[in-house]
Amino acid sequence: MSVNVVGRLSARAADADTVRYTLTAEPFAFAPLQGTEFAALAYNGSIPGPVLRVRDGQNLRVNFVNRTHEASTIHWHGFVLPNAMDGVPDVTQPAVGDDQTFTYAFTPGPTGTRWYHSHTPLQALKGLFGMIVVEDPRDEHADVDLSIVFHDVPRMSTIDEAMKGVSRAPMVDPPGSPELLAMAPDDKMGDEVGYIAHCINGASYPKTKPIAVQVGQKVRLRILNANLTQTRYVRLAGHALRLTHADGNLLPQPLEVDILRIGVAERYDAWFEVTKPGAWLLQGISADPMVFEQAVVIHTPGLEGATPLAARNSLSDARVFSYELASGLLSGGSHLPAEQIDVKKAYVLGGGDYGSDRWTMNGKIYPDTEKIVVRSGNRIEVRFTNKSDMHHPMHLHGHNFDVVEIDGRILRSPISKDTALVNPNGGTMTWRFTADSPAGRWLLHCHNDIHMMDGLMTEVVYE
Amino acid sequence: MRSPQIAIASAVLASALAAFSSGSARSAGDPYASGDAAEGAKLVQSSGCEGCHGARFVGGLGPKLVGIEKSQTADQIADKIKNPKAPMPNFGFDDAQLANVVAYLSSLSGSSGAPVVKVVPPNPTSGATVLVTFSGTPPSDVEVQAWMQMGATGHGTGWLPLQKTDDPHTLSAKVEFSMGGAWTLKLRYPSGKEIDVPLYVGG
Repeated sequence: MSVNVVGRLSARAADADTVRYTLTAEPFAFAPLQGTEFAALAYNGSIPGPVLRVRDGQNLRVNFVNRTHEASTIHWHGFVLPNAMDGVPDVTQPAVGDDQTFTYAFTPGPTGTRWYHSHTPLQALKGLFGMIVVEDPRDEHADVDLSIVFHDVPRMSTIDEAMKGVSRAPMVDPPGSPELLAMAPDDKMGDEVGYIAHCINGASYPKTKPIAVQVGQKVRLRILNANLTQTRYVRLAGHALRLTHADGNLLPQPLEVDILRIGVAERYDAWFEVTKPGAWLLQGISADPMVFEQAVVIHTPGLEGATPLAARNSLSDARVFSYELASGLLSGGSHLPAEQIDVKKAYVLGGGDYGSDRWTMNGKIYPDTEKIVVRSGNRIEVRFTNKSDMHHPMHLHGHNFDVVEIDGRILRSPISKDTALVNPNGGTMTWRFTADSPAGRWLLHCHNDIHMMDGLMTEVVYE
Repeated sequence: MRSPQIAIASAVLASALAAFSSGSARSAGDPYASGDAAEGAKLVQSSGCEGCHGARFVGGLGPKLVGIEKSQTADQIADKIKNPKAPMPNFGFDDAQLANVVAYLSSLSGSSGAPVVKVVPPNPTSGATVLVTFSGTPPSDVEVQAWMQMGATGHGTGWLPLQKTDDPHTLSAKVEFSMGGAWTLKLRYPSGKEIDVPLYVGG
């Protein structure tokens, strides 16, 4: 069975109230491309892990078997669920020990493309991640529904250097990208990680498994960036991409782009139609020549071995996704909509100087960062001011928030997400959400693994 | 530096070589023979050719490209890019772009007369030695700078003088790469002429 295709649930599973899976995490010898070997961890022997799928309203029961020889958990990214199921070691549950099992049982929601991964430091980047789809019966019909996971394999020796802020690993963002434009001339990065392979669905081009489609088909790509640090730019040669969902949630309206900018831990649903026979590369765009191998062939019948069309590794002359574009580009006025806000919190994101091992929120690192204390039913507003020179994919557990302001511009239509990139060098972002999730401690952190491990993390706590 | 064997081979292939040395006479109707190597370098870098053809084009998944002009005509090189054999993808270059790419690839081994730039070690993590080999006597007062473009501005080492080495055709300079990424080595002649050589510094 092809791991990519997010097919319909079997009749038996579709009728059941509860869908059951067993996920066994254990060491795995991963060879993403010729001549490279990586001591990985995998769920059920595959990287990415299996695509899980449930229908809206069904219960999920996952028997997690930990054979990684170290503590582990599974975090369900993007879900509103009981706090005890959230999978954060020592915060929401004791870590699952080696050779132990734990049952995650909850009713997955909201609907859409979400994902799961270990929340023990370093385990996710070693391969413990996968996509989970909660089918929404209201979605438009897709002839082909595919899981596309972008993931990069790190050179482990650079992780320690990156955490100490002295890595020399390159920035690989494409020329002209917001990431590169944010760098000042005398900047030294210091916290970037070096990579040995850049993959889609467990392999590098040309080893990626080609995807067969047919002329006339409407194809839905559920795209996940499961990388540990890098934003990726995605394009499909010869086609524009029509985006309908961000982080599993409907965008204010569908949006057509040439290039999808997808930050760490984000998901987007991108559609295209096959209008003629051919073979095309779906690729990650980057300044790193090796990232060329982050590509998969999409082809019509008979053209699996044909030369695929490739797109240039360039952002110029292309419509690139941004939150502002998705919000309609028109301003929502000069003030946020008036409403009763019960809890307001402002964080300045900083740190990350060359040679530093600290990334901070209001000058502090986790666990000493200031928490957001809420009461059930409260309306919350969080504002980030990012004084560092890097974008931060900020992620909130247990809730979906509305992005209502970016860099001083009020969004005309808020965008509902669970992870959002905050711009550097004074960039701001405001979230509004309601504290109507189950009570507990919910992590709020940068999803760049290096930054998170170096302290850019806090909590929303229900009192 | 040319060895006697290469000199003889050059003589034998003189008419074919002349067809794609920049500025030389070429056969009529060879649309790929007079491209701009500098423009070609940009296209090659943005297409990620080194991803398959290896750092510095010494070969990898795809064949070695250094010295390709010694065995193939501009037309033949262009054809392999225009009608690639899977898994090499088709980048959709137009004829002008193909000519530029061919010119750049043909300049990698220095047989076109442009200086050959080599970096030792080949994938520097910090400091490296840049070796510039000229086909004739090296000009005096040539300078080199490692430069990284960042948006509208950039970040560079400043102009460094090239020093003599044991090889009469080769000059060198020590260069410190403060971070990895897509660098450009700039060579500046006393006349003011500048040559850019893209260099990817891995991590």
